[in-house]
Amino acid sequence: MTALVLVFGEDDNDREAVCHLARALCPGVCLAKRRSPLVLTKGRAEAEARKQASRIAAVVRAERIRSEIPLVLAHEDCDAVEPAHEALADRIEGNLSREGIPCVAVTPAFEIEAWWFLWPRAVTAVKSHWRDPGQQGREVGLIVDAKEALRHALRKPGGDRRHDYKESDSPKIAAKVGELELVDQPQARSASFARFATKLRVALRDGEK
Amino acid sequence: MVWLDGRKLDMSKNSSGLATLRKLGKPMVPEQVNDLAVLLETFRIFEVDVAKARMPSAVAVSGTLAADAGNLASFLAYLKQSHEPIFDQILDDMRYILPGFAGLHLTPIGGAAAGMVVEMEERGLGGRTPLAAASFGTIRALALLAMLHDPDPPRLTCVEEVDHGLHPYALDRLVERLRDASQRTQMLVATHSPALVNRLRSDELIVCERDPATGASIIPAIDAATVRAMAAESDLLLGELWFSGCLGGVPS
Repeated sequence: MTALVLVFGEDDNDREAVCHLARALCPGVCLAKRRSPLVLTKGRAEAEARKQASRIAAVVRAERIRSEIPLVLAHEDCDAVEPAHEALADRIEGNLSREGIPCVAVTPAFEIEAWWFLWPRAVTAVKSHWRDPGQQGREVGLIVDAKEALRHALRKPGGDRRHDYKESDSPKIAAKVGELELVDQPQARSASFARFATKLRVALRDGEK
Repeated sequence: MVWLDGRKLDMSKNSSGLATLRKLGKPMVPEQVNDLAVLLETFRIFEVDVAKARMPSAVAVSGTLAADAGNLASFLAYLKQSHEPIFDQILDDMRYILPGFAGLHLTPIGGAAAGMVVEMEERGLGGRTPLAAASFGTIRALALLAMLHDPDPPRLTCVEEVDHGLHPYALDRLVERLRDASQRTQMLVATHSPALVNRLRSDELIVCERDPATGASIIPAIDAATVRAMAAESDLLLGELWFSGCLGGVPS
């Protein structure tokens, strides 16, 4: 039976970006994106969050008919600065654990765009129109509204706004992180990324034992 | 170009080859080849041309529904004239699918060129609405129902995007009629609607996808027994399973 890590998340850009990062962190891992259910817990009451976890569990049970599913990656942006990612990640992992699903939560603070400040070389490798986003050595998990901050940081003075960062650029940046082998050379700090990277590597290493 | 027994048969690149099959004739090939050509020619690739279907038909009554439903009015007239219970069933289905729908009026066009025009009667609206003024979805639904109720269908009917233009609430009735029609003809319909797939049984679903490396079609992408087991294990509907990516047939 094939061993497959399933990736759930808020939208396909996020899922694709998480797949690239996971491959960069754990080369050789076999990943597949799964679309439904779309949203995990954001803005939802606890009962609804448990229901969503139960829907993910249903998809995993279906997949287990033909594949071994050692792990699920469940993405949701925090929409808050660190350390908000910890409570959100614990909540997602707890709800899925109660369903019998081993899970590593992917909870970027403030949102996944904050992570792109970690690898400025990967970002500028995607589009020559962009400038270095800066933030080297900083705690990027404290950047409020990271998407807008990244968009603004990448825009050259007087630059054409048609070249602005778009959410669909996110997977391209994540892919460059892998291609350029930058994942372990972040130029800034993000506790939410560090948590994800550590937990993913531990989970997959433990799964091999 | 086709060669047979040293004889060259010209064939257009765009040809289906059916005409060539017929050219072979009795002296060269068994009669079964001709029978096969006849059979293939009867297959209906049903693709409603809404612009044509909403126009009056050029003939008053026609017992065969055109593959583009361009003679919808005259086929409905035929059903009303020769199969009234079927015509009434179409009206009943239209009332279910289209709130406010009251009935159809078929009026022969006089003059030198005979023809047939369809008008709709709707509750709450005075007068009649000519089909020419009806919505895309209404015309397509009427044409689909006419095809699905065809008392003498071809051996195989194919429909692209069968749910196109239909309200999701209409899908219950559509699936029921597809099942009924499949007792008389093999139905092969394509859809990209999880809402429609949710209403299907595992043995009614064939998931198709392309091999990303070679571009070859993979049909089926997953066998029916596995789909059945996945649905049973997850308690998810087939459309939900397909949309999640579990069954394949989604962008990778």
